[in-house]
Amino acid sequence: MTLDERLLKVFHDIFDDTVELRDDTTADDIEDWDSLHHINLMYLIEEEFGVQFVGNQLAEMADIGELKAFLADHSRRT
Amino acid sequence: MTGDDLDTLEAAALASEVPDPAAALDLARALLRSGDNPGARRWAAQVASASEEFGPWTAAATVYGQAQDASDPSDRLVRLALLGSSTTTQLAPMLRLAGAPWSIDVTVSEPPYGQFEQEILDPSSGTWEFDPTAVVLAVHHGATRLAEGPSDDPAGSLAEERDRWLSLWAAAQSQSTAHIVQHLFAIPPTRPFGHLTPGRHDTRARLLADLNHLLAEAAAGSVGVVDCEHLASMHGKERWFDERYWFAAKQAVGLSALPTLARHTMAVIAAQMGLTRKCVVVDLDNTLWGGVVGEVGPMGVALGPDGGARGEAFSAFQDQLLSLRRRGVLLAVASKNDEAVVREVFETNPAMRITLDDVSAWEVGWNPKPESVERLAATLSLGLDSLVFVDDNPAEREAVRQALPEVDVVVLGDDPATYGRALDRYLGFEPAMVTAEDLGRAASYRAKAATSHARSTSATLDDFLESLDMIAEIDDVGPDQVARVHQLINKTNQFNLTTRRHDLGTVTEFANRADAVCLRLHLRDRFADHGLVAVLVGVQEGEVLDIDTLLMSCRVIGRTAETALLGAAVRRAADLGCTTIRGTYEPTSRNALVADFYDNHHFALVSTSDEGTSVWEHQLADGAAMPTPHIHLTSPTDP
Repeated sequence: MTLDERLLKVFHDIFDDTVELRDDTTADDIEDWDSLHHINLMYLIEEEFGVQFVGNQLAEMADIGELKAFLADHSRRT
Repeated sequence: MTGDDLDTLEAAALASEVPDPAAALDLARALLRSGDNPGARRWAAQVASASEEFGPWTAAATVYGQAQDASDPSDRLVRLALLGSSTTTQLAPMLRLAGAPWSIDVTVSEPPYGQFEQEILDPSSGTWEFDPTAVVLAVHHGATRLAEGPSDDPAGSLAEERDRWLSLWAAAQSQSTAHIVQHLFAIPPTRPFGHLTPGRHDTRARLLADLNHLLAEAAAGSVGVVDCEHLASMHGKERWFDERYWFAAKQAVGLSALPTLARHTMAVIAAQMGLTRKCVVVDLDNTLWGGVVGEVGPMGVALGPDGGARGEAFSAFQDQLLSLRRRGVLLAVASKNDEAVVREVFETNPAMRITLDDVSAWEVGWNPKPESVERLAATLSLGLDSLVFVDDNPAEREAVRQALPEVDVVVLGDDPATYGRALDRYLGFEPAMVTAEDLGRAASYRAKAATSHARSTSATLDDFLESLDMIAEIDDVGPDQVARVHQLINKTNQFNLTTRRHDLGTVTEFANRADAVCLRLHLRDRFADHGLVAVLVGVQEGEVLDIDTLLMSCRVIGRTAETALLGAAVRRAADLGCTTIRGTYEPTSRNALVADFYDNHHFALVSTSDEGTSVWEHQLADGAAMPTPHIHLTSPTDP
């Protein structure tokens, strides 16, 4: 699977399998994306990609584009 | 979604005895969309039995919750009050899912974390209003007051801590007949004393271990305990404790461990409800020993050291079944064999651990297994829902599952060395019954605690609040506090009357305006300095002081600090020459907690909008009391 597909699968596990992702998607675009779901999301992304978010990254992530850039740089798990 | 699509998904989910969690989840979602709620719940529950990972569980818990059918409730209902010392938001839906193996429908009430003492001690709290049938104290080591050594009186701290929890149980039991379930304390991995830790009475690890033992002994027959220290060890402490998630989201238990914690918590509740399974029905060939006795003869089966690794594994599994037997679980045999040959193994093979005396009932013959199991139930006068079936043959397991859905079936792997773990993982034998001796000892512990609690611990909410020795400092927001106040204004959701977010410039302006009141509250008690935890911003409009913002951090809810802050604002309003103080409650999805705040503080309702926003006023001339007897007020200028 590509990085995009793996990321989408995580989002589907957390939200619903109808969620779609664009690079400029933010938490505001997905109805259920609150602080609770954010933590779940970060955790499952860490598991899926073998990364560790640092400090405030766990609580804040600007948009999907930024997230994908981070994963492309740091992922050790394919 | 067509019927064909559903058929394809179902085929994928049914492709193996333990379904692939992803396939089961896809099917559950499809069934939910097609309107088949019972089917969706059944397959969501299958996900939970096939996996113990956070991802599948959290997804399945969502489907399970959405597919809940209020018109078709189970006859086993649990109204569960989840009282946590840290975030429990992820655990709550998993507890509902974890009720599925017992057909227990769970409704959860979840007050903000950190409120467990106030919730229990206050007879009018939301918890008691909810009328729970189970109260779960989902607490972690941070909820204790046990400090790391060195210390002079570890025994004293330990006794005080034990009495504190026992008096909390007693308070809960005086309010309600709900089952009380206490999470014992997982012991964190940090050890300043290294390997000297277990040998010193004053290390936190040792104190927590001792506390766990004392609480578990005192709980017998009265309170259920979940041995979280054991669960953490099984799970791996480096994963159970995840500091990053503690700092970022106040998750005291790592997310990866929550499915395990949910399963075991529900197992203890089920045991409290009397749902412990009473009898294990075992097959013989390749379950209790290796090989088919009809072919290899009574001395030819693989068992004991002579049977090599396989023989050792079967012996160990027999020992494990015997430990269950000695604890009171009945042992029955269902086998397709000639009875005479089978008896000969028991009577003559010296490697057999289980004896004929250990077996309460037999069905050895050539009948189908489900028939044998039914007969065993009749012989033992047990319901089918008291039985657990253990057989190495997947076809027999499937036959029993289909014919007798009330019987639980343990799935064994191909290798007998793994049988023991499979039986360990099964939680239906979780016991609630204890011996008379245990009960007597527990009663004496609780009696001792009852006498000592009068002098050392608190039984009422007032006593509890008084015992905290709270000191609140209330003052104007100064330049040093603007940043923290700005942060609180923009992240506080629950205890927040208006949820108005303001940028740093606006907050600074509030702090500098002569016609505004911008107060902050700093709270400390004998255990902790909580820091700057509450903010009130009021703006003068003629003779009215209008409260723009009133909020407080979750961690100090239930301490009456908010009343102290409001009282200070009333005094400031008078200083400004106001006659009236006005408050507004703007409802959001998160702040129902404070819907009655102004009502409870002697404000009169002025208006309510269509959106539910309510405006309240208090005339200063009324001088209504806002007492905070348990908080000592101070200002920074006090000596």
